[in-house]
Amino acid sequence: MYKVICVKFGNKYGPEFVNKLYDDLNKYTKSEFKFYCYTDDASGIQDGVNVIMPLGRPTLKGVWNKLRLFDSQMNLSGKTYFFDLDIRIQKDPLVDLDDWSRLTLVESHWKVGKLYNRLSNYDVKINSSVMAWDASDGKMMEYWSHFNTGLRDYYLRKYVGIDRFIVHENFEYNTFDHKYIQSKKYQEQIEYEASILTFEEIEVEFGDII
Amino acid sequence: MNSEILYRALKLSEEVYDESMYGIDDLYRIKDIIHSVDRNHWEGKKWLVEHFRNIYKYESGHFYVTGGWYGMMAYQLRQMWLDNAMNITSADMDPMCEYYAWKLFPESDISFETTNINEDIDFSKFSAIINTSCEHMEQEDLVSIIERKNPNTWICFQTNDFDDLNSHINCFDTSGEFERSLNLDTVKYSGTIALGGFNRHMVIGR
Repeated sequence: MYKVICVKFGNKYGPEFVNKLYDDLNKYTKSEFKFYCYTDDASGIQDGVNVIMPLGRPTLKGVWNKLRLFDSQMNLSGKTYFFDLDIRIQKDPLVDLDDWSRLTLVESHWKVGKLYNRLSNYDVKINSSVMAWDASDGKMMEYWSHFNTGLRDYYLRKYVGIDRFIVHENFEYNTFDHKYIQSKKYQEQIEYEASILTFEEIEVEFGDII
Repeated sequence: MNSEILYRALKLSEEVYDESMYGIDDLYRIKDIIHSVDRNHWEGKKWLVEHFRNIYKYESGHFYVTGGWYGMMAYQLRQMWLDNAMNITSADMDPMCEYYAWKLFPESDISFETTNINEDIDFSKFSAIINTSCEHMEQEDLVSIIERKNPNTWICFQTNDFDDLNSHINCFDTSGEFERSLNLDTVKYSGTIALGGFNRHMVIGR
């Protein structure tokens, strides 16, 4: 059985985003799954969603709460998928990957040009809008333990989010097949049906993901 | 600001760049070091020492700076309390702060150390505990420092209302709210200065 988790902190996205993700998974996937939401506000979240309330210190803001998924206190196990709330599911997204020994992320292959080939480039060509990993694999907890040191505040200043933290702190990762993802902004027309439509760099309202 | 400090900051930036060429690639340290000698930081810390000088009139004691970053706060305290009967310690949980602070403020008679305030620190032995980065720290830790200190130990804490940064986890809208959150027995100063786009709050008491 897959574990699927989303993260909702603050008031950027309401519970309807969580419920829609859960409903869409039920609609599209043939696999068995258990659905979790890590959130600071469970109001409005429908039955069937297993709510995980904040794990306490350290206090984190916004996207940094995603890194908490790799805290052993999260008590996830087995093949686990994470989805951002601002995505649209288009077909079954729970794919049994060939390699679960590393974290798998979205490759932003549409980011092209000389800037991305610079050694000193700060921006990265992956994003964490969808992630998959084996939560029973202890080495996955290194994302959290590496962050949660005396350098934690420095990382929060240095990186705008966890994507850059993962790349620039030299973690190894895999990426999903390009056909798994469609970028709303960069891939308006494609010749295949992707499992997930992502809205990176776009302000998303609920109507966009319906 | 002392031009010698700015010169050392430039030389440190060069060192960070050189290190990135052959060893650890951490160019963000350059930006962080520049931020640490920013005029806003200088002004905020100057504001603290000027007010605290009128409250703490002795020449001896032990000032402990938590969240001391690259040492600017400790340096300004040393400029105001020149007598070596005053011990000044600057502590930060980031181990690189100690390294860079020694380089930025050598021969300043300041002890720089790497410490996590959740560790077993005897706060009761200090004359004053100074923290100008409360916006980065858990409120629970600030309260814990106050509970663990001697009743006569002064507290000089600053935070701000700049809530937009991910690293700012403990901001307050007003100095009054910040003051109430600390629950000190005596407050000698509570105020705010505008620092170009945000407000910095300060509470001095014990």
